[in-house]
Amino acid sequence: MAKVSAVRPVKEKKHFVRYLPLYLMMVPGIAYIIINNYIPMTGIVVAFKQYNTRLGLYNSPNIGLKNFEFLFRTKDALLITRNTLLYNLAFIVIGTLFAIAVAVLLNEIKIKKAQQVYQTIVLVPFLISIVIVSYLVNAFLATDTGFVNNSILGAMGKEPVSWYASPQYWPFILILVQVWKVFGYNSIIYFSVLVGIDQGYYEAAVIDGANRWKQFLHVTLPGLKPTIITLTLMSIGRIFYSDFGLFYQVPMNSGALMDVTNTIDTFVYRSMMQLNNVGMASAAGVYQSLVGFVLVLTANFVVRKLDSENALF
Amino acid sequence: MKLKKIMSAILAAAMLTATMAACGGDGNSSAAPSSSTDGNSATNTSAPAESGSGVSAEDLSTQEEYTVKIMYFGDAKTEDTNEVAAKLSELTKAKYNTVIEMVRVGFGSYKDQANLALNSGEKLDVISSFGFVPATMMSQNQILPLNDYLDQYAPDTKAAISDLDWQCVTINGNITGVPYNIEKASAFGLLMVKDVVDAMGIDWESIKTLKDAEPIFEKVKAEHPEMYMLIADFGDIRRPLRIDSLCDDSCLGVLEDALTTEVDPKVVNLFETASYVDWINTMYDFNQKGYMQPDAASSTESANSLLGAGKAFSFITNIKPGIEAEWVRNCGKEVYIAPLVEEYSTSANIGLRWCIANNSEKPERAMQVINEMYMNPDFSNIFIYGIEGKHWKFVDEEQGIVGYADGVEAGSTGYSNLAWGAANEQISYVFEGDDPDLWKKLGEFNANAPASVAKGFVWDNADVINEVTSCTNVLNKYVKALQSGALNPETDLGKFNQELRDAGLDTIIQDKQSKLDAWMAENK
Repeated sequence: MAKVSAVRPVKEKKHFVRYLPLYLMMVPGIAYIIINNYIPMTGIVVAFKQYNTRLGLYNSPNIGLKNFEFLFRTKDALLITRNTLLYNLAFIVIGTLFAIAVAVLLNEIKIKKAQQVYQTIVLVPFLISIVIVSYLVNAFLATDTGFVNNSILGAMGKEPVSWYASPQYWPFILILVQVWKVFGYNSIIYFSVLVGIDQGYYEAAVIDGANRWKQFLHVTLPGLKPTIITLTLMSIGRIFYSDFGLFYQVPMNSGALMDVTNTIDTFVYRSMMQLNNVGMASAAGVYQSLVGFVLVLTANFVVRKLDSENALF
Repeated sequence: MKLKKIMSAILAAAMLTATMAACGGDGNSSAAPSSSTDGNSATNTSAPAESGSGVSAEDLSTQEEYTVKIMYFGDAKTEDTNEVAAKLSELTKAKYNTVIEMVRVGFGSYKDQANLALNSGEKLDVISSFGFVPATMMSQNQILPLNDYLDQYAPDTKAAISDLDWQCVTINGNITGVPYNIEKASAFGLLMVKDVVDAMGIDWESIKTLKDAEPIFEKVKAEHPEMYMLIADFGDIRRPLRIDSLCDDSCLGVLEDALTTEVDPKVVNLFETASYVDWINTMYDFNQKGYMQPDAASSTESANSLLGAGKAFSFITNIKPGIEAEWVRNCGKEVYIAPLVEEYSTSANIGLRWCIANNSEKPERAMQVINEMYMNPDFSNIFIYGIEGKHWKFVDEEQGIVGYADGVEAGSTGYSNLAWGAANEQISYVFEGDDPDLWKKLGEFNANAPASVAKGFVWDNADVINEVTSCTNVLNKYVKALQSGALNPETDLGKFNQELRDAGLDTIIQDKQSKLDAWMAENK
């Protein structure tokens, strides 16, 4: 686009008028991003200050990197980084595999009505608020009234487990919950791509004697590749961010689970709201943003090297 | 290109006005109640004369109008709160030309919302310290020291509170707030539901320690499998221990026995003391035997609602005169309370206080209102009980006993009353069901409680704030789970203490000890 306008500046105005409705449609989105994402960015200064309510955001004394120093001296910094990264890696890998599997299965259904019903069903978990999800999980895991302790472990004659005080199970529980919650959304995206793959390829593959698995490997997967790369790239960009609701609400903010449920986002929230350590909370926030930014650039750089067509920018 | 620039300029301008409009909106709403009360002020000028305390002769009603915004806790509907504020404004308008604006926030979210209000710089004058650590509020300048304002604008309040109490709210020479005139001593007991105890003929008075409750729990559990024997309140369980926390709610370093007679009391790690270990062993034992409320540590239910719903048998409660009646009001059940720890007092008992927010534009006007809250019975009664006829009515006007208004009850009132949530409940009416002599008895309870040797000493955590933050993270992880018996003390208590030490507990204890020693040398 930039090229076009440079070569033919006269047409610039016409071009603008022609696309005016589109620009107007963009305004609310841009306004939202500026208000929600850009204006608060000035608050980054707090990370370098000893926050003092009386002096305010910008006049509090500068203390350089002291907040960061302290953040990284606690054991928490390592723990929250590890949790955030590993959980997100697990979500990306398992989530993507699961979503593709469901999309392929959906695509195999030949009855139109049934296909629509299934599409709707897999999307439902994505639409449920995380607070409600946390109580659904609680209905399974509550020590006295929970389904797992009563109907599964009880029937098997095993001792009930005090789930909210047993950190060893939570990595699995959280991954399960997250995958269950978002797979429908991603499946629909993959499914829409699958629908667009020309049936001719499959017919040709069948003529060449390819079985279902071979068809999947050599027709379906290459067709999905650009989408997989884009979605994964976007996930990697957010690998330093965690779903606050998932890590705070679903474990019911249980202290005993903190080693495996504390992520950067919950740490920032707790330092801010419970310990009132504004400086340290901001330091953790800045750390998250910087590393997240670097990760997006790196991931994009790698993709551009490997397959320049699919890079984001 | 030019068009694009214009577009972006317009966009920026639009956004700026939007943000400004949002800020302006706040200002307007805070000024709103003033207009509605203007008309009344003239007719009511005589009312505050009854307040009786010798306010200086100078006429303060001619000062410039100002709105004092008060934030405190408890459930209330906004409209009802506004109405109560308007009623209070009638009093303050006549006396000080001050309008009252009130915000009440439910217990669960009070600390978070108040903290946001303090940090965001929104207009706020008077705020309750409920849930806060006043030393931290002061060191972060969320609140103002009251030293200069007290003498000039609230001399009656200053005189009404003892010097020792003032000492307990003073940090580094700064008076952080006006302490609530409520129970000023700690005592703990085991609360049990009366109808169950009576029906089963249980000898509840035989309970002297928590361990004595075991055979009773066993019996009741067999009869009432649907009940939890022992419950938490929002995941919290009170510690039935006679410790002096030295004004540190986290209890990082305490005097194991508050009433020790040693001249050089030793600061120790609470979580390694014999009495603490003994207590959590009992809790673990209870949990293993199925007496504890399951998942107590992460419970989001209040003890009130669990007891009220008939799902709970007992609860470790604090004790003060009139506590049984308070529970009846809160959960609708009659209770017995077996004392576990007799009353004693420490600096921490002078904990809850009214502070003046740093955002206050006119702290002196806020101070005048606090003085009114503390000294003026009329103000206090409206503040606590709301509007006569709408929220409450006289049951016995002579004795000053009030009850809910017709058609109103605890669950349906738009303005829940918490006598202890006001500055000075002891000048207000007594609620129906309470002993008419309640306030007298409370005064005696406060006066008779033996005091810790360290009472008056207030520890300031400023020198070890980083260690405190780290240790608090460790506490968040373990304390609730340990104290509700969810963790096995044998395996987890050692880990807990090791993590505390790694986070710098020893430094904190040393800091506390040296400051306490210095204070003892100076004051004893």
